[in-house]
Amino acid sequence: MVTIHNLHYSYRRQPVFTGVDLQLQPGHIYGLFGRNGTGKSTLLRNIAGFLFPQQGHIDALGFTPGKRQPAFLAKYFHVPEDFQLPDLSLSRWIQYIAPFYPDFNRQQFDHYAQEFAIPAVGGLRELSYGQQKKALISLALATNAPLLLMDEPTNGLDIHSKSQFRKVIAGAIDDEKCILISTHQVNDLENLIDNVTIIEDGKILFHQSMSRIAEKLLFKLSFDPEETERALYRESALKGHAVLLPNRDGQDSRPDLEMLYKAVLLNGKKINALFA
Amino acid sequence: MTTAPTNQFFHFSRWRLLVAKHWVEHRRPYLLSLLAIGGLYAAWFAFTIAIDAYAPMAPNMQFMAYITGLYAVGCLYSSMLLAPLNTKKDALPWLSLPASHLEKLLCTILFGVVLFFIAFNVVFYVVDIIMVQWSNTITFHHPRYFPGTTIRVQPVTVYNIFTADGAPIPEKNFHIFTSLYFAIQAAFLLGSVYFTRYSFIKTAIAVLLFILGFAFLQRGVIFPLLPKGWNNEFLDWARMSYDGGPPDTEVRVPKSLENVIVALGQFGLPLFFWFVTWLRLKEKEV
Repeated sequence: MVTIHNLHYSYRRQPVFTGVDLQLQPGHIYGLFGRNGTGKSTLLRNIAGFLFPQQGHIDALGFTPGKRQPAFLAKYFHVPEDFQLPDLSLSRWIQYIAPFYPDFNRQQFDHYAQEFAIPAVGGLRELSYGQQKKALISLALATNAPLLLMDEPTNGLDIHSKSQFRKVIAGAIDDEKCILISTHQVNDLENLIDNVTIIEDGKILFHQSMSRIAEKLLFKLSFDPEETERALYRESALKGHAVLLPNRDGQDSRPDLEMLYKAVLLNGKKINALFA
Repeated sequence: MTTAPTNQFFHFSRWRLLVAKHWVEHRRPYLLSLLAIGGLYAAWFAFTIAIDAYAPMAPNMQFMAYITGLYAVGCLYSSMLLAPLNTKKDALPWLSLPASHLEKLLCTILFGVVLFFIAFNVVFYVVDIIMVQWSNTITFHHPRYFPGTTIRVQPVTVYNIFTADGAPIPEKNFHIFTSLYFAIQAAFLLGSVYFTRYSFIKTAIAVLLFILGFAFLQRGVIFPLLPKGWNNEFLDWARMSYDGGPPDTEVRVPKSLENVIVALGQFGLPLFFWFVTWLRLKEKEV
């Protein structure tokens, strides 16, 4: 669905990407993690065609995004971190924007709006930032665009809305769709994403599916000092240590995204070697 | 479910959607702005009627008010139309809306050039006609004479942009100020895409520098090259026995070529600037 080959991008003389290769497949929800300024939003904007690769090539849904052809624009939806909705009522906004998306479904939109408890009366600008974001996410999902790019979608959402977000997104994915969510709040995507992508130093440092992660890595609470010493990553817990170990015995454990993220940043080479 | 148009360059149904969306999102500020323009004109005309006892609402004064307002408001509005592209929160939805760059530019031109020009003229004439009538009523009921004469102050007529009676010669003969407006407005539209910050001010400076450069070319470069006693008037070079007199000898480009050059200036420049704006839109990165 999206193929990125040897992507180079820099802002003036500040390199952001120096040869990124990445493939995104339909039917998956990808979590894109990275420190501030590592280029998560830049990667999304390259895929969306807001920025043009300085070297390399991007193919998204069979299009070159930088050409910004209407047929391509109608097949993806980008939810930016910072946005401004027009000074209209919700229904009027939908009435005028929906026709641009051939697969838009009004019933679906109403369902998402109801799930998110977005007030139907009053203007969009009278809604809180979080409510506006939920309206935008509802529109994004109701367009049924095969490619959904979301930049920090949980910013500004309260705890209840974050869980609604996970529920709605999990219900919206199907075999035809691909959702790429960039965030630095990794825990917000717990139990939602099925692939983890971590960017660091202009490259993709880690790109694995959650099933492979669960297969190769063991997340556990350890009280054994020797085991703690052997861990790929460890951090003190209330009792003992939360550790990340190679999963040599095929044990079941629930991946902790935050721990994985920190472990990859600290010990990326060793962790990637386990997946080779 | 609707079927997507296949043409990726221009499709009328997509453009129509874009126009409808632009209108519904902006109609309130547009209508308020037109009311404000009408109010400012009414206030200005009322002021001139109050202070000018002899030639209130003279056609040349109407022309000056018309052309000043058209340039000021038109260029400001034009530089605001694509200015959202310079802020991330507005640019991302604008660029990702499923329509081609050409459709987006044509929608901008429709509102910024065509509809604005029509609406501006409607507002100007609604106010102007009322104020001319009012001025003439005052003149009729309170006859006034020019100082030291028995010449009575006459009623005035509404300024006509087509005949340009009462306007300066370049406007009357070639509609030069009105047609140049479209070129300058198009330059401001381009400036709003080209410059990412302070686009209005930067474009105003660029336009001013261009005009100064053109004046320097005419006066500082071409004029000194002419034989002594010859005048340089862009497409017309003449020698006169005395200032303001009829030319003894005149050299001018053929009429057909002159017409082509004037037409290019009048219609070619806006098209050129719009074309460059379209190219810049395609290259725009956010």
